[in-house]
Amino acid sequence: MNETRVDLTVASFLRGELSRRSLVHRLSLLGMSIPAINLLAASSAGAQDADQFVIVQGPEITNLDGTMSTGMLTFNVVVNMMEPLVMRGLDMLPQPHLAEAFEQVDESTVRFTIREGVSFHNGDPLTVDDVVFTLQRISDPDLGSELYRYANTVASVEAIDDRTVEVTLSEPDVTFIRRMTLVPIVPKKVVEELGDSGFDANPMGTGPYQFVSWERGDRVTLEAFGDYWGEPAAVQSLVFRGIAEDATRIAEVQTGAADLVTNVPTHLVPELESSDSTQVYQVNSLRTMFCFLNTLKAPFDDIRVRQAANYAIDKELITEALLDGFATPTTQPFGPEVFGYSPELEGSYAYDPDQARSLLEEAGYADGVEINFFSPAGRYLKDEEVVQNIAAQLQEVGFKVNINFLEWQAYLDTHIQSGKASENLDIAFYSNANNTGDADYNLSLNVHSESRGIYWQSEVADQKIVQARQTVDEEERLRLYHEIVALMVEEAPWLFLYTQHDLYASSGRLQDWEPRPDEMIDLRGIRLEDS
Amino acid sequence: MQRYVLQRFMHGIVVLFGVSVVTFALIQLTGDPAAAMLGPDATAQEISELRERRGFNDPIALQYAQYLGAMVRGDFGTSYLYNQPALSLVVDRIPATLELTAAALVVTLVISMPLGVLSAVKRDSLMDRLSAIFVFGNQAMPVFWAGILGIMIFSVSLDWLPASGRGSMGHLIMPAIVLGLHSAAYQVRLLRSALLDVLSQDYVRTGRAKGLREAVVINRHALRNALVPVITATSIQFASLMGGSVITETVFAWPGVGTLAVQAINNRDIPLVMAATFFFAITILVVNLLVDISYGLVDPRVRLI
Repeated sequence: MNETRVDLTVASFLRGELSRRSLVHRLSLLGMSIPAINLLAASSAGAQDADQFVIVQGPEITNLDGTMSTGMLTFNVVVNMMEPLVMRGLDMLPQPHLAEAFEQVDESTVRFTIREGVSFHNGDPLTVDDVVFTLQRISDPDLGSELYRYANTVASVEAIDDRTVEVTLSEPDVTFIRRMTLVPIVPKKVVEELGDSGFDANPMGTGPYQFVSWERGDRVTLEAFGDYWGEPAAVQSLVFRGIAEDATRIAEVQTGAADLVTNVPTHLVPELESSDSTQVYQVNSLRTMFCFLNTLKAPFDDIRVRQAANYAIDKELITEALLDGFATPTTQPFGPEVFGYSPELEGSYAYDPDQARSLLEEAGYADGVEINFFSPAGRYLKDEEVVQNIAAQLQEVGFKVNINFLEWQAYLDTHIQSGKASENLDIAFYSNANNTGDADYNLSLNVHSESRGIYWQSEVADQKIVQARQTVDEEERLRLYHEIVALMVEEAPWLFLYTQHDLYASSGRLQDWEPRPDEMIDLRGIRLEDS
Repeated sequence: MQRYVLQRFMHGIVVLFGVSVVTFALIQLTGDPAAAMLGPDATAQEISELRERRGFNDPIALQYAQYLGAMVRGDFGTSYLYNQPALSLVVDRIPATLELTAAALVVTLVISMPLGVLSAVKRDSLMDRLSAIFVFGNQAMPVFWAGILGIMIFSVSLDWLPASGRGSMGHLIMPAIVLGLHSAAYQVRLLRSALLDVLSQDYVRTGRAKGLREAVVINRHALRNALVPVITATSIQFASLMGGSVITETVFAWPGVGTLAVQAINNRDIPLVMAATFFFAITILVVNLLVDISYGLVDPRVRLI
């Protein structure tokens, strides 16, 4: 008899009708020992709470001041508390948010009109001073903010009137507005009062959720903000956790203790898909995988050899057989989600090993040619298998490939970030995630010769990248990107490979949520089945 | 006694100095901290600017001297990753690590004491053989594997225990058992052989000859003498539990110094790596000192000079 009463008591605790204290009291009356009760309460603590939504990302959350860290891990928590002037829509284009309007006045001037009726969580209204303060804050190199990169072209920020902020850039740059989608606005008064580390421990903004607590290394808890200017939050409380270990993170969604987990390993997808209690989401991401070809020396200084390498790779073999379909082949420096993608060039470099062999022969390498292939190990999805597969396919057409795997940071320091081409390197496996959804991000970083364009230098590409950044007219800018992409496809300075998919898993109760290509977890508008 | 403690204290300072030199040198070998701080999308120019600003271009000996100077004053610097004082980040995590290590030690002792004694007293019996299987099984099983297996069984399949995190007894059970079982295995074998050694001594035979009950022989005469090596081993175990807790904490997302240290190492966060290493070094030094002092209490023959 007692057992039934225990079950009923526990059930009401799980429904939220009983506090933890009452649960302990009632169960001890039923003759249960305190350790046993603690155990029961603890294990059910992981169970679903109708008003709480638990998101588990990879590594632990290290910062909560959205004006200091650019990592998506932080941004995904922060964006619920602090909001940017403009938000990226699902089409990756900037939409009005805290700025109800924005205008590219000329190629180096941007104007934002601040929304009225928005207040911070302490009740203070959002003013132009807060916007000016935030932009000046991140553009100060001494602060050491990672967001400095988004604002390093800011020459001045001024409030023209009590609703308008004008930003003047030190050089023409029409992609500035897109970068503002990643800059949350913080309250001037509070940041000044608390100081940098004080604000990090007690973050505040204008978002639909306000900060409750941060148990470092374990969880961040937020709760719905009653006076939010936009659509009120559907779920009362959000909990963000960081669990680096894949198996543990996935176990949390399998037990129902987590509602949404990121970075699902591909080998666990079938198991999660076959379960009634979990659902897997897949989206093509903004991360493109490719290889730099060292065009500064033989054999890849010959365009025919570079084209031969591109013809030699059966990309679908990699994406389907090796990556289980969790990737999409691409023949461009980025995928279709990025502004600047050229649909006309789809299908170039279709797999053609005979064409590859004859191009190699034409270039004078009929007897084959030895190349050194460098790659990080353990950094990207199945990177070692992919690199070995590429090498094998290159061998098929006549290349003799020496593979060198390196630890990630050593690889990055030596071959990618050093600012100069490595002499003994012919191919380097690499990837880039486009943080802004705009071609400028990939091209400025990986193609422009003053940045990462160390293995292929093209004055034409350099010039067009800068020109596009200075072109206000979007159609004209798109045309310029199409030209750059066409040049790259023709010149083949890269081995074009594929875009990677992002995988999420949720407990069955998540409704109306769609994963985004930019890794942002947007919880506005979600519904929980039992809420 | 006081002189002994003072002497050990001085030794400890030398050891800590050695630890700081080795850790600082090792972390320099792993590459450029500025590159790690700025992430993969940073350009060479951004990296060199940051190197200059943070003083990473200074000679390593100078960087170390500056670092040591600040450290002596209790300033371990600001974590690059968290933008918070490194020492306070570590101090915040100490309770979680101590809680896990202490719980694991309890598991170790509760399992190893009776099992060790039984397998020595009933040498070559079925009990002894089962205990050997337990020992080899546990030692062969890496902690991370046992942890994941535990999560699969007790969280995913049976739904008895939470899979990760900290906060209640339920959260502590699985990591403590996983960590404790591993070191219990070692401890069982050690206690068994120490006890077997003592049981073959003359005074044990004498005790039995004069008609003492077997329980008295074992508990009062044999076990006490067998405990000296076991206490030493327990301190080593404590140190290895601390080390092992790095893996256990990662598997169970336990918010202790271990997960913090892993995060710091992965990101070349020098101040944080140094602060975490110091925490582990100091803990081990203190435990060793306490153990040496406790010898005097367990075995009156040991005199601390």
